[in-house]
Amino acid sequence: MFELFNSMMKEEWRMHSSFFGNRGFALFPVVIVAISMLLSLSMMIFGRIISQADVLLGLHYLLLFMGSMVGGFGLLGREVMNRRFSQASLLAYSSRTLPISERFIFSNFIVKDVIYYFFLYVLPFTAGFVAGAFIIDIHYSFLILLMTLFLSFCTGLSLVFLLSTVYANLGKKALFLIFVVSIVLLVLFQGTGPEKLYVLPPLAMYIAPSVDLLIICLGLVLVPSIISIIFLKVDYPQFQKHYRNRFKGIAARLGFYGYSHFVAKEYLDLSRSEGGVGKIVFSFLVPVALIWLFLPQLLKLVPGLDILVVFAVVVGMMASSMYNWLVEFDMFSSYAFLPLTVPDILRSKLNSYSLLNVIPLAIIIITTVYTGRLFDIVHIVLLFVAVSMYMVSVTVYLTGLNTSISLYNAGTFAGYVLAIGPVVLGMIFLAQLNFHFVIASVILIPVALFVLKRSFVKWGKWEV
Amino acid sequence: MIIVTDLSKHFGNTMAVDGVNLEVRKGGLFGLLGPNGSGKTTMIRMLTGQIRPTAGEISVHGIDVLANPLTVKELTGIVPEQETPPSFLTAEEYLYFVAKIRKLENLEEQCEWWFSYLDFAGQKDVLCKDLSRGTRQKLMLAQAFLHDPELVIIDEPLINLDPLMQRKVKDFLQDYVKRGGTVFISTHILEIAREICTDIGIIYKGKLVFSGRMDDSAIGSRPLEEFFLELVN
Repeated sequence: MFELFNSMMKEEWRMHSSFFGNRGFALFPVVIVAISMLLSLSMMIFGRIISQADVLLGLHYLLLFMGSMVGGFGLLGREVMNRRFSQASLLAYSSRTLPISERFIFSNFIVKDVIYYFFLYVLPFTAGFVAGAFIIDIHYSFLILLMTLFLSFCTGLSLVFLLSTVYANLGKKALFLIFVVSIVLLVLFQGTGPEKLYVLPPLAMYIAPSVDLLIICLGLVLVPSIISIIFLKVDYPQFQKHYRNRFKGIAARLGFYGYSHFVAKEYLDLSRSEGGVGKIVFSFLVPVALIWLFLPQLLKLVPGLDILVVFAVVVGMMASSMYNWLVEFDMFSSYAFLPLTVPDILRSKLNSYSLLNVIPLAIIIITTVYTGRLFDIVHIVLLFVAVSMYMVSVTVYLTGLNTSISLYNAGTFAGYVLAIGPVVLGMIFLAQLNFHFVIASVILIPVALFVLKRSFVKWGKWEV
Repeated sequence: MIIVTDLSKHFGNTMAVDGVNLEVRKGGLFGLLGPNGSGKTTMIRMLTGQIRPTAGEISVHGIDVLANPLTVKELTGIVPEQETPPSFLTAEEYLYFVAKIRKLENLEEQCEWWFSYLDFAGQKDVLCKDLSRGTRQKLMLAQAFLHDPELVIIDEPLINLDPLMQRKVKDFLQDYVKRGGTVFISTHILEIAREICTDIGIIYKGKLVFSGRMDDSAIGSRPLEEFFLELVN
């Protein structure tokens, strides 16, 4: 049954390349090579304050995070794909029409994801990084690094697949479980030094390779994946669920707001879609909590950085992912026959985005107060608002209503990184010179408004 | 009601619509006929301002579609080829959503009439993503008539509907025209055109090969299928 695997690989490629052409997608790994090469070349500057061990730590955790992001899309992005392609057209749903079991399909799906993203992310990332390091006379063992980074990536992927299986079986109880696990992690890591971060098995294996560690690494990848396959649960709607008309009430309550009907629709999209509130917990609150947890440890590696500044910048960047939640259920073709333009839809999404930003804003205010820096609250809030606005404006300009998929286009992704990277790093290092320089982030607000204005012009010409 | 002059649309090297000239009179039920891939949907998307033509002019309600696509969409009811109501609204909520976009008020009675007429009151509180294709088509038909437009443009009106419902929709469209409305439909099912259309156009490989009244002498008393095959062969 190699045909299924083979076809899934073709499907994945064609699905991506259908959005932005074969060349645009094929060049994506080239962009990854360039970015990772720039990253390793930057060690010429940062090598004085960051040790090689810290660099390796950062790399392995980055790949762990990337793996969990890819897995997360498998978990949360299914509805997006259903909406765009319909279930009947995806091989993952072929058990409906062909004599193949769900478990067999899911096993193929995992193996396909692993191999596909090895070539898309892991190999180019490692190659670029090692090549850049070689230029500045830092030598890594390419094959061992490739293997341990790949294991890191697979660990993140398989853990998120396991989470998705837990969620599919336990439903809302899973949220409680994740909450408990997060608290346990917080307690375990509270007040400890960064050395605990080095226990990540793939990282430990790069530093001191051994057969025992290899077995542990493989176990971390295989055990969660096997459990996911054994307890696989795929829900096909057996009955139609009935809902009372909540749209009317919500839209009426927000009547003062120009886009009340869109806000009401988006609220219902979020709350009724797979994951529902769990989506906010999984893809925003848990990562924010983890960042808050690990940030003090990571900042010990780069002394002098202001933790609140870095946190505000990172949360501002992550907040822009909420724009993706808002656009993932919609295609403009759903509106093209109504008296609406693409800029109308973008404006409605940005209105909802502003409302959703109350959540990260509250987090920023709470953490500022919690750390006893009430006098810095204006600076920190301004920084968060400016970064969030700038990030979303760049996202809208580059991706319009197709955010999650457009970023796989080499040119778009390169543009995104170039527009975001220098600005956020600049903000962080400006604050390092003098905390009050954070006020300079106010410049990002008119820039963001200008970029949004250009976005409306750009996407206004777009045809479905 | 609709005047199309030298209309063309290319998609890369593919000529989807090629120099079409067409006039649709007010108060008629016009059927655009053609085989699959002949350019019917592209024509409808251009008429309704969803895509811009490569060349040519379109006037709908006397309004230049290229200059004022939004006004044309405001005045026209449109049912697209693929039924795509937002996934997580119920059928009833979707009609309220469309009503808000079209700035309509007090629709309860009208919505209930549609649910009852098209026999889907039992599914009005089901999410659009869970509705059958037939019910989605009913919902899309209902949204198109919600603002009581003078012109309705429907791409394949009877697709996915059972014979009972097809009858009801055909009756409704004919009655709507009798009440002064204008309907433009596209279809590849010739029996539908023969039964309900007052005027037809036949498009083949992007070119309009015939346009006229259903009782046009060119068609005569021949079966429409014979006339159609003669033109496209």
